[in-house]
Amino acid sequence: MAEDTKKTEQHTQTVVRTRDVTKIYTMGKVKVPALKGITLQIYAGEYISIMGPSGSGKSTLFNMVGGLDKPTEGSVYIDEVDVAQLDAYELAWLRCRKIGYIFQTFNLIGVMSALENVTLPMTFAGMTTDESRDKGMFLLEKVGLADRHSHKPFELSGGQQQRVAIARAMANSPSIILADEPTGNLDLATGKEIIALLGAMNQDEGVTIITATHDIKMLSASNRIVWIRDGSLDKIERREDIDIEVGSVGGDSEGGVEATLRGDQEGVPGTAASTPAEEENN
Amino acid sequence: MNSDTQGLQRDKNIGRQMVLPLSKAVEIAWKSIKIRFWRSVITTSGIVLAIAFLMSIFTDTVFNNALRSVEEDHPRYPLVESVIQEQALEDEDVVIRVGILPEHDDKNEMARETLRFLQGRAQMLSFLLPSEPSPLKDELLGQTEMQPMDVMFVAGFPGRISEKTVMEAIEAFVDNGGALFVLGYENLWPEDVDQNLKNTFLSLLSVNLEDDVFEVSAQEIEETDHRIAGQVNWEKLPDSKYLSFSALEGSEIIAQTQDGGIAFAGKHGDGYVCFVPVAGQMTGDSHLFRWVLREGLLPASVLWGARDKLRGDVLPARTLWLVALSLMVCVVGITNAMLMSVTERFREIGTMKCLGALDKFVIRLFLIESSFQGAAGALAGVLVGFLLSFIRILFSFRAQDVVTGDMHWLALEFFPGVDLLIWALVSLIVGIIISVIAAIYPAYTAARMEPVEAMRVEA
Repeated sequence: MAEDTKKTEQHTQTVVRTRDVTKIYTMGKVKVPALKGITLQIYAGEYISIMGPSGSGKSTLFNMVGGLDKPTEGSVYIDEVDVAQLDAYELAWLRCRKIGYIFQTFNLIGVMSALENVTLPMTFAGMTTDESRDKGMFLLEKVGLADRHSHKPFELSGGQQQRVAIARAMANSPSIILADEPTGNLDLATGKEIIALLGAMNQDEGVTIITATHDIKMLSASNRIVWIRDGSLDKIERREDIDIEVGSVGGDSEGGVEATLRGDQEGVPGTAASTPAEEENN
Repeated sequence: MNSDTQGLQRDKNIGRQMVLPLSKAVEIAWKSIKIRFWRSVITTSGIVLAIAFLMSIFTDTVFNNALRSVEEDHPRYPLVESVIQEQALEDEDVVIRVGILPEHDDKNEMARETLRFLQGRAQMLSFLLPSEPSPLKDELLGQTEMQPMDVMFVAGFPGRISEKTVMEAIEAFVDNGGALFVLGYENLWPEDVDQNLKNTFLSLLSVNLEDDVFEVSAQEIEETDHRIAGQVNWEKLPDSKYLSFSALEGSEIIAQTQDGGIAFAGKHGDGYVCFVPVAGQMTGDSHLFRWVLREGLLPASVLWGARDKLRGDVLPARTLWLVALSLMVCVVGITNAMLMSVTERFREIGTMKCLGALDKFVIRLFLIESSFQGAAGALAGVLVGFLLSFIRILFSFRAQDVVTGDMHWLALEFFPGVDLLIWALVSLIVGIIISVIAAIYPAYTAARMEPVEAMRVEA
């Protein structure tokens, strides 16, 4: 319970806020709305998952929250900074120091060793070589790969690569780790290890973790799950309120997940889209 | 939240990315080349070829210029001159027009033989000059549709044109850079020719007639002091009788026996004259005539007379155009290869941007990578181009001294080391600049790539 109290304190401060975020893609003459006004608050120290079927706008929201995309209308605040107002230099600064990125395909720079991959963001942040090497080794140790620091990505397994990627994401002590399907290319056991590692980072460093995932294991580690459907916020669920039985999910993960989720959702203020979803679920 | 507080918050929470780690860019670029070694080699091969071409042309030019800068009083000058002419004659652009003025008697045997002989030689276009004064003057003054005549071979003056205006036209022809080859003296004139005309002709040749005839034997010629472009084989010169002449200022004896000069050459105005003062009527002396033709005095004199023409542009505009074209093709090739490389590396570029790389950093990365490739390719190109050209030059720039029989490797004797280094450096820089220019567009394409590209899952 002590842990819960600590978390609640952390969760009072928002690290990412979206306000009526709308995104319209123009394809030729056709305007395709990807997001239809999403208001969402992500609190510091949270472990949050964004869920939704493909084409739901999940990726768009995820990229928006990670400072990789700008809304057509509405605003995204990362650390109370309106992303839309940032120029290229400020965006680079934000990505370098405030956000750590983890990818489904790991995306280590192939020509660089594990340590060099971890120290690259520190170099971009202006850290000296010695400082960054020390911190890089410290982070590699944390993810359990200190002895592999000189290995090139192709000499590492998928799980090891993702661990290096987590160390790299933590390089500049970001407020947010943005993880896009971090277990998508990993087997079950390795996926579990990566989730555990992310959880540990969340617990120990207090870093906010935002993931987009289909992985039930991931959902079980999350504090909250944000469901997106047709460009709108479908519902937001707390982990305490749902019961996820990993292993009982069969077939289509999306349908399967919905089938195993039950319980009440927390109605987030200003989430117009959550109402019909609640009705549907109840 | 109003805009004021937003501004305050913004100041507090955000900075501007300023770091451009150049050494890191160099490191990544270098490693990228290493890891994609064969791809880099293929990308670079365009530069290698283009720079090899450029360097080979520079090498040719530098060696040719080195030979051309050999002073006339240098002991190797005659050999150098012959090599330059041989080189020039290999160039298809050079055509020497040789006009033959036929002997005055009806047979024209000598003229025909000369014609036949010269027509068998590459780059020499020989033709019989008209025997009417007016068209002959037009030819001499370059007032015809044809390319101007370079060399006039005088075997005799037909009676009709032995007049003052023709002589003036010949003088004008030589003054304007033409070459005049004169074989014999007494045989040239019709019997009723004016003595003043003969004297005008002598002054054109810059020789002074001394009333005397002497005989030169084949043995004697071996001890003669002679010099002209190395192709003449003096040792086979048959026994013959010569008129005595002495050289005036403007002319020099190029072959001399104890009794007197047997060949004179001189500069007159911008042109040259060569004079072999054979005594009597030439028609009978077919041995000497054949020697003049076959053993090289006439061809050598022709070349010698046309040497300004043969010393013409080392680097013709056509070649420069070809070089420019090959460099442009090279730019397009590299741009294409780099664009492919950029599209393939979308994830790497996107990831780097997610990690805080500025657009400028990405641009630098690709420009540095390309300049490395350019430097390596240009270096290889310089070596390949130099070696290919040098091996060819080494063998074509050798000449045998007809007197001593020694073979002289003129390319080594006049090795233009400093110039070669300078032009190698120029080629190297051109190679680097070319590949950097070629990389500008791909680099900007890479820099424009959005960081969200890193999220793409499909390859």
